[in-house]
Amino acid sequence: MKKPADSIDKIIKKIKAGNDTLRSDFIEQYKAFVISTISKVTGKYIDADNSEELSIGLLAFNEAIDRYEKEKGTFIRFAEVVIRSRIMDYLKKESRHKNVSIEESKEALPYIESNFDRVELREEINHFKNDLKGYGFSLKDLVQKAPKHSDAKENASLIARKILEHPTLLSEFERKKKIPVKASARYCGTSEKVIKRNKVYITAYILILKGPGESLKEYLRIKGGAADGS
Amino acid sequence: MVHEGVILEIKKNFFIVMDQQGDFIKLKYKEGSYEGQKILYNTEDIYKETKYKKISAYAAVLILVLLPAFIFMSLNPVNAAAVISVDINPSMEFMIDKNEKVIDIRSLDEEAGALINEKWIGMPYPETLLMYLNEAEAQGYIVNDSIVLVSCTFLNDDLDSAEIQNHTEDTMKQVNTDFSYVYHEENREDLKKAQKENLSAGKYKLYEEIQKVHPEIPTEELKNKNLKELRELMDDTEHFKIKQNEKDKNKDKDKDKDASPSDNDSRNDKPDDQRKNERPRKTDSNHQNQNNQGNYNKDQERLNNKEKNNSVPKDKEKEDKKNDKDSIKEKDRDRSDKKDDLKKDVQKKDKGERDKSSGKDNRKGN
Repeated sequence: MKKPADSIDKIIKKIKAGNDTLRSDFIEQYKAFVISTISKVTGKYIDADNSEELSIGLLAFNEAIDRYEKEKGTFIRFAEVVIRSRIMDYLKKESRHKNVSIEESKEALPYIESNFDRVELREEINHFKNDLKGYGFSLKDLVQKAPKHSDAKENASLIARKILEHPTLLSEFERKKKIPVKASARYCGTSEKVIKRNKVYITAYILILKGPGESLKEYLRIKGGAADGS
Repeated sequence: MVHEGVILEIKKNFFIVMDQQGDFIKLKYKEGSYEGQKILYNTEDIYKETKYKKISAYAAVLILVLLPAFIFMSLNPVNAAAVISVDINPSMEFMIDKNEKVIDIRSLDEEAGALINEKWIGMPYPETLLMYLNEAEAQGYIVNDSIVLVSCTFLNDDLDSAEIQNHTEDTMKQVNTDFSYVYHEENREDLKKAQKENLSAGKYKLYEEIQKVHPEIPTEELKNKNLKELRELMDDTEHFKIKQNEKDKNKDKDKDKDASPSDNDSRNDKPDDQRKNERPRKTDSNHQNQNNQGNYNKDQERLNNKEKNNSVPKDKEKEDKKNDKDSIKEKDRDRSDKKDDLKKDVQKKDKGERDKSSGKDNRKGN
């Protein structure tokens, strides 16, 4: 999307000529566009783990590349139309298949899709929320007060890990239901101000890492670059 | 950019999501998701609430702080002496104090809102009025056959009504365009009622007056008409008499109610008689500016013979109208004979003006 329109035309020409690496790069590059187009049609977020819609959307985008001609207007517009119609077809088919109206299927969908894996994750989340409440914070506080800058985030998560690894600090943290600011600052070699400012985030981080399940932890560890510090 | 996140909590308008980078964010609410779901989202899905919330919170505080002051001021205008409304078709109101200083300006519609300037508060009323009229003229709201309705409501006895009228009329003479105007005074009751309906006092009273004569016309219909369209109806009313705005040079003679142009009387009996009741009239200002006397003569001639006096192009239009006027004036005369004595004072004063003016009664005729 960042590239000007004329270069898109050139890229498509090359892809059509058989440049397959370019094709997959191009599709990857436009994934956000595909996702937002699908999301507009379905009015839902796309499931990250297994989404029929996403694969249909990506196929449609791929199809759009093959079928695109200059006379059809800009590529983006054309691709949007193709994705739209494929997704609509899919939704229609789905609703027919289930023999319920689209309205009903919308309501039914979450329960159908939430498999056991998700139940586990959901329990972890509930646990985490309760823990957080015990420390006097809500998820909203977390959204508001979490550090936005990646360096600050990394720093905070490092502090959290250090506290977690230090038995006295951790027991203090659990007993008083708050971060032992002074001792932690000394131990981590940071100022008290940094800890105070990020106390919600650090608390949340510790709670997630010491939580019972693995799903949330995995989620942060596998995919989160900043969380990979240790 | 595509991001992936886990939905931690679903709220009414947003989701709280933890993303892969360890960020905790809010996303717009969408159907079909559930807590614990991993979703893909774009930056456009991020719920932008904090900003609005902050702004609305500030706004709420501001309103809370300002509202009492505002109410206090509007209920109890510190030393307001008069409210003067000006309807062109943008409508607005000046509030002035006993020194004729503007203490508040209020626009009654969007167009007027664009014309007024808060810096005018504190300036003398005539100056401000002139700036407003000039602005309206520049924006094309005042053209040659526009009607400006100026209406004055005195809130106490601090101001002299004749003085305000003079200042108003003098100010209007400084505007280059030849528009017609109506100056009218309202009482406080009318102003209150008008403000309730968000009308200017002038318009409110005008509608009322028109409905006295034409009760069949609903107020809504009147509201939808502009002043030009109301012109005929205005002519039917008792109090809303359209005057032609005279140019500055003729100021002395033209002040409708103050000037007593006795010498004009003798010269121009005819138009005088013809227009015993206050009829709207339009003059050719170009002529007046050149020479009043000559002007009168010319007008007189024009009444008799349209083909003469084409020195200024504008005359032509007026002459055409005069055609109609001749016949109208006959009607007027009949009517005016019946009018009560009270009217005569006013008529006399108006004679001078009428002499010059070529009579603009065609609307009546039409």
